[in-house]
Amino acid sequence: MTLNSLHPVSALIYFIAVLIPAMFCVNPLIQATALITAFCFLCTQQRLKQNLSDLVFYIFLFILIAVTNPIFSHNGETVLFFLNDNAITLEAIICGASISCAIICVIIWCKCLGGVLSSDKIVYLFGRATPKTALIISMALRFIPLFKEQLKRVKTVQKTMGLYNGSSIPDKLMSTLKIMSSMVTWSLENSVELSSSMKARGYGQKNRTSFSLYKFTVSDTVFTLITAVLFILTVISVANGSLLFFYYPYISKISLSASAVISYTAYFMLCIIPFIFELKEAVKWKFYLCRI
Amino acid sequence: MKKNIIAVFSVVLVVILLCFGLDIKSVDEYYLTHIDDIKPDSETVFLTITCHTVLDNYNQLDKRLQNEKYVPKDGVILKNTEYVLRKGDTAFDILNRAVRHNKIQMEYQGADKNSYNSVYIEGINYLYEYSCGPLSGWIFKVNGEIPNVGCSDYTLKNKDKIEFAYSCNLGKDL
Repeated sequence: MTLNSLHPVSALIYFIAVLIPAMFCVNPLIQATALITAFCFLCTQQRLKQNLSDLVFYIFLFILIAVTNPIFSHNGETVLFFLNDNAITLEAIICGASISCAIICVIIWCKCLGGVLSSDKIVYLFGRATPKTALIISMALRFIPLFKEQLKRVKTVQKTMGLYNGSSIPDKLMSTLKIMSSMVTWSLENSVELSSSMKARGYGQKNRTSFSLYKFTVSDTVFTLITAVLFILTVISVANGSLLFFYYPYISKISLSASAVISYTAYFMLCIIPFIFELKEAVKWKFYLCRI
Repeated sequence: MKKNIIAVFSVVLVVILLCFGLDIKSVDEYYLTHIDDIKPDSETVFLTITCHTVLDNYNQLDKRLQNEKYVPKDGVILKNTEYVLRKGDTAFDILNRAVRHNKIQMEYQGADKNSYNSVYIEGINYLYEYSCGPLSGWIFKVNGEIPNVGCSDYTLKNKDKIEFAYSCNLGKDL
């Protein structure tokens, strides 16, 4: 069993349960848990080379956000130095690091979500209730991979035609700019075409039914129940304030009270589930290979 | 190759120009402000910084600021002190000089950054706007009255009494 083979509803509930604490809980331990487990899960979904290039991008993003925060936020007790008469504080830098951790972890989880909930599953989930929203969500999730693919295609064609083939940095930049401008037009046109094509097929009309093979099995129920219990255990400590953490004007201590520890463990267990699923499948695969 | 060199050179030039715009000071350097000595014939003004209203609305105050370090028990952050008035000094100039001299934390929004063309005091001594209810913030009074202009637009006269006070209700409680 993996997250992919689960019923779309339980997979969606799982992702919502993971994303809510990751987005709204300002606690370094919760954020670190979400980030590390998200990356573990992502590693099982992609090739090594892709993972490495992703990692470089995430590190770049991390530094960008972590450096930007102290430029605009000058609160905090530990002043490192003054830049144009504004205090650059240690607290602001650490707060920036924490914000960038949260953003990157949400990006990674959404990437995993895009892989698990494919377009047909999203249309199945939202198609009947809100057809327009379903189409927009599935298009938005598909947008970046599609964009990348098309970019590669356009670049290759231009190169084979012998255009924009200069080797100097300005030449390369200019050629990328030209390709990008054509890409923007293409993506706009593509989305219009896609929506009108869906309309032509009668998508979103009342009488039209769509076929799907999803059945809510016992294992789906058990999985959803476990998700709900772990989520509630995590959120209870947020509600009673034992996960409270702040950066200004001084950095508070990480709470290690009983209810906070329960919450950390519950959230860790919640986040590690898909990785364990994938690990189990990989071990199984190796085992079967050995038996051949 | 030539194009490459030109590109790299122009990027380096931009970075150097940006670095000239930066003014980095160490903490000691920043707080080392010269306060003129008071002579018998020099013009002076008086400055106080208070937060009495916070003490009345202590339960509304942000929990992390509920500490004597940030809100003194008597509600006085800077007790009434006499400062030499330089020619053309505004209320903000005196405040800036005083907090630097006394090493009190202050954050403000520069006059060029808002639509009022006047400096806005965001926080003094870690006590920020909105820290004590949604209508709270810093307000300044001169000789007991709240002027109708920003603190960097108010030019001071000899023997003026300036008070920067924290209000929890848009200045109606001062």
